[in-house]
Amino acid sequence: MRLRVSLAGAVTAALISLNASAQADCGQVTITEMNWASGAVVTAVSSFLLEQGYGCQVKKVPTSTVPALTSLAETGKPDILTEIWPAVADVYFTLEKQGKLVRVGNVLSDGGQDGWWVPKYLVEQHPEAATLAGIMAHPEWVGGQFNNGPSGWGGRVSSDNLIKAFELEQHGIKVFNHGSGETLAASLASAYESKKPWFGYYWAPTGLLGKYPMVSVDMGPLDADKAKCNARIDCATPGKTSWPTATVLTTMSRAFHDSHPDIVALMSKVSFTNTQMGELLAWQESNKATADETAAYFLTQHKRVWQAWVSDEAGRKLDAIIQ
Amino acid sequence: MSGYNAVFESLGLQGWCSAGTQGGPVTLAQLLAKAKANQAGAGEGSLPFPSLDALNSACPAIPRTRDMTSAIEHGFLTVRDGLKVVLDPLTQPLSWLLELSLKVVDLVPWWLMILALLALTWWLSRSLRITALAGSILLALGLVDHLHYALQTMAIVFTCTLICILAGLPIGILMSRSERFKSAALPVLDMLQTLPSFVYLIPLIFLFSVTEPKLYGIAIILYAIVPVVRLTDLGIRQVDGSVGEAAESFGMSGWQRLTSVELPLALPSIMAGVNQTIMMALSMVVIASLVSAPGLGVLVLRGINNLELGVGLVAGLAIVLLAIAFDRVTKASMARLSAQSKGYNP
Amino acid sequence: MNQAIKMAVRGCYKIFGSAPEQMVERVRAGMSKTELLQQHAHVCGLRDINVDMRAGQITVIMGLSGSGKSTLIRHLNGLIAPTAGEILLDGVDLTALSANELREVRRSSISMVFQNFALMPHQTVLQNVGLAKRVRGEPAAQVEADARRWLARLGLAGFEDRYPHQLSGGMQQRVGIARALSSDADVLLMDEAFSALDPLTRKDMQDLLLELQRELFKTIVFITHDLDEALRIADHIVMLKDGEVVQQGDPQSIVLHPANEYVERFVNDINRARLLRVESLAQPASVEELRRLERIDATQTLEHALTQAGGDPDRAFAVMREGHFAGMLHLRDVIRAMLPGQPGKPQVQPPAAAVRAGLNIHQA
Repeated sequence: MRLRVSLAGAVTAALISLNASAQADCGQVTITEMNWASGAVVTAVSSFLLEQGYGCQVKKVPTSTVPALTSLAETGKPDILTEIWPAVADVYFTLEKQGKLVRVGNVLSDGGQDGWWVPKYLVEQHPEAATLAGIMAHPEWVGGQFNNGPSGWGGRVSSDNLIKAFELEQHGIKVFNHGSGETLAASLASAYESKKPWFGYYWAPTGLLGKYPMVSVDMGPLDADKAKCNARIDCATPGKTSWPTATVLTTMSRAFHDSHPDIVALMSKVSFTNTQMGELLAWQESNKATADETAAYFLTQHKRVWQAWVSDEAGRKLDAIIQ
Repeated sequence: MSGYNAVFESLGLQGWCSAGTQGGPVTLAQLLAKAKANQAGAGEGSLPFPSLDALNSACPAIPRTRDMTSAIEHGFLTVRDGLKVVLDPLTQPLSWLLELSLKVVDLVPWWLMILALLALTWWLSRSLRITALAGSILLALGLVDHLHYALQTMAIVFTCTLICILAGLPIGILMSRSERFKSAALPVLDMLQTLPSFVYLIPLIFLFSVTEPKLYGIAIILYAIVPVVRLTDLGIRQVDGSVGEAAESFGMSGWQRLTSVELPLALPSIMAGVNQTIMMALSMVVIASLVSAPGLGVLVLRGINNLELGVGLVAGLAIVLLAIAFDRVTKASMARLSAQSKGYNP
Repeated sequence: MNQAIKMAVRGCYKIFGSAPEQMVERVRAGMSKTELLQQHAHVCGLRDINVDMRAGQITVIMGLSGSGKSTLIRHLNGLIAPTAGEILLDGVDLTALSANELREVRRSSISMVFQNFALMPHQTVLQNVGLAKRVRGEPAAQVEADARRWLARLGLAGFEDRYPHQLSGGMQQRVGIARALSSDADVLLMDEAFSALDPLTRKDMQDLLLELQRELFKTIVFITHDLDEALRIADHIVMLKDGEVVQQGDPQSIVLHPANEYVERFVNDINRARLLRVESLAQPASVEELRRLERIDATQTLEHALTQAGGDPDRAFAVMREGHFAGMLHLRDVIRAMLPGQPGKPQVQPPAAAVRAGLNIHQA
């Protein structure tokens, strides 16, 4: 009996001391891990910095845009949401207005690039294929087909409306709606490998566009209002416009933002240009690396970049680890 | 660094090892481990499982696991053009059939379609109750604007089931005749049933254009053909040995025995196989839509991708209703077939 | 009695295993069944079988389970191929035929009746009976007419449109026999055809078979494990044990002169009084002696003789065959004949006159 009491006591004491030591550092942090390549890399890098530089206990939550935002709205977790594309999810603006989340920084400084793309070799063959007008005048250049993204992709809604606005189908271009992102990517890769024509929706920064040089088709001047309407599924008057760059944000829950100013300082600085991210993703593709390995590559090869993000104290700790 | 460095050193293979490519990507964990190792002074005693990756970190000349996977990929891309020449004409009829059936669904007016389906149900089942069930399911689907999708799904399932039967019956018959063929075919059947479809679908996209219906047709057929094959084999093998002996001793040729004895007696088992094939084809509907098949799967995907619970649920329920209708109809026609042989029970 | 030999088995060996041909020589040299099994993992199914089946006769192959009788009968229509030896039908070696030729033989020359009837469950009785002619490709109308005829002959008129499972065992076997007969084959193989029936039905079926045989004169090869059945219907009995022939001959000589203890044990149980016939015990005698005696027909059973004698052991009879004197029957011989004897020793002296006269067992 006495043994049991002392055992229980020892365990409790241990738990308390663990808790105490945890609270001395930044504590438990939940961070999203988006299910696309650049999102995974951003999360891997951020987690490492948080753990090794700031002593946080980081829990990664694999998810995607809409579920993450829904979770935050309902439960206030996860703490940090990386690579949010607000253009995709209207609910973002509602949450921001309600004060449930706080915009912290632009993680992709150049913004995401949605677009309608054709392979570079196609443009070299037919320079006019770089413009939408040229393609619509000669649909045979692109095999008479437009590869649309799957439902669930934010760009799909805009694409559908632009297809209506530009009257693609009336110009002899059949729209093929892919069932999944994988088949869209596979059709691009397959066409590129055999140097066949291809025309469709895609977005940067991705490994695919990093690997296969493509040209974004010129669709005319940008009309911000029309673009905003096109992004909504119930847009009554789809309009002709080119694609706006999409802001890509790091956001935090209000509670976490207010209680961890040092981490706010870090995450507001974590940012990649499209060139940087493109290079990382291309490296990942050619080395068949995981996001984790890509993060290690970035941290070892681009010390100057991330050292500018971290506090002095964190920087010293990290220096010791990363040679 | 691991104990394997010491192993390679002692074997004198250092020269060969470093002659290879430089080391590959490092994980964050390895980064940390390296840092800790430098601080602690040594770490060379550790001996993880001698996997390709572990050996590679000690000796860069040994290929990593990812090199093996990319070798497979390159291998496939090399044979792709040759494969395409062979497979394209073989699978073209499937594309035509699917396109034809989908076109029929598009062109025939809805009331004619429903009447035709009810007539078919009656002819197969001769049961008022089941025809009424089918009718009410069709009407319910029509009420919630799911009729066209449901008809597309039905067209795809019927076409694929037809091909499954045409291809699966001979394979099952062959399996029942030859032990050797059966032992070669069984692992293939196991693989078709368990290998995730997407694993072999992506290479198929490289072979066929993703816009061709045969892509999802093949996906469905490869999954759904297994029950017909297995149950044909089982049904024929279960035919009473002495009946088969009698057939042989009266001088029946193999073909005569097959058509007048084995197939009729195996029919209940084969029909059970067809029933299962239809169910499995239906269950592939959503994956088929991932590779751009039309029908109810598109609605389910939309619900999943956009987190529209209602859309996904209703479309899913529609698939269930179709499954129930198909199951009842095929079971009724099976019962009629066995009743025709006047109470013969398998 | 010396009919032509319709089918013959010459030097037939059947060995089961992975390399049977290689084992034949060993078996020929005298290796036993147990040795073969233990040393080489092969089973010796049949060893040096030599049997002649004469036309128009019923040859019964008898033995316990595992004696090889089912294996042997399946050699006769090529369902099993021998490891060594010949199976001759009208002088043609079946083992040398091609698959197509063998199929032709099965369609026209040999038919079979099975222990568990082996009717097609999904076809009517009429369709079942018409099987052989249908397989041959004859016109449907003729097939049907023929089938009806045979069904009527077998007493099944009116059951044409029933299905096998609706019939009793005896009726199903009658369908099986009708099916076999409708092929007009000369040879009829019957694999324990009545073993699955109850004793009364079995007796009826045996009577039916004998009746049909009196009309049709088929060459019948019948397998059974029941000696009573064999003795009732056989013209010639072949006794098998462990794949070898231990004795073959006409039924009376098997009973009266069992070749070894195995056969002896078999024959012990039979009702000799009902089986043995007066003619096998008839002794030579002068015509004057015979004229004074009460007469008894040669084909009567010993039981009948006993009854006729009123149980008096001192009686004697004159044996008659077709109106002529054939010998004298002493009741004491009758009583002695009913005792089980020793293997190899004749219980009763074979009547010399009977032997000289070439007495037959039953006039066929």
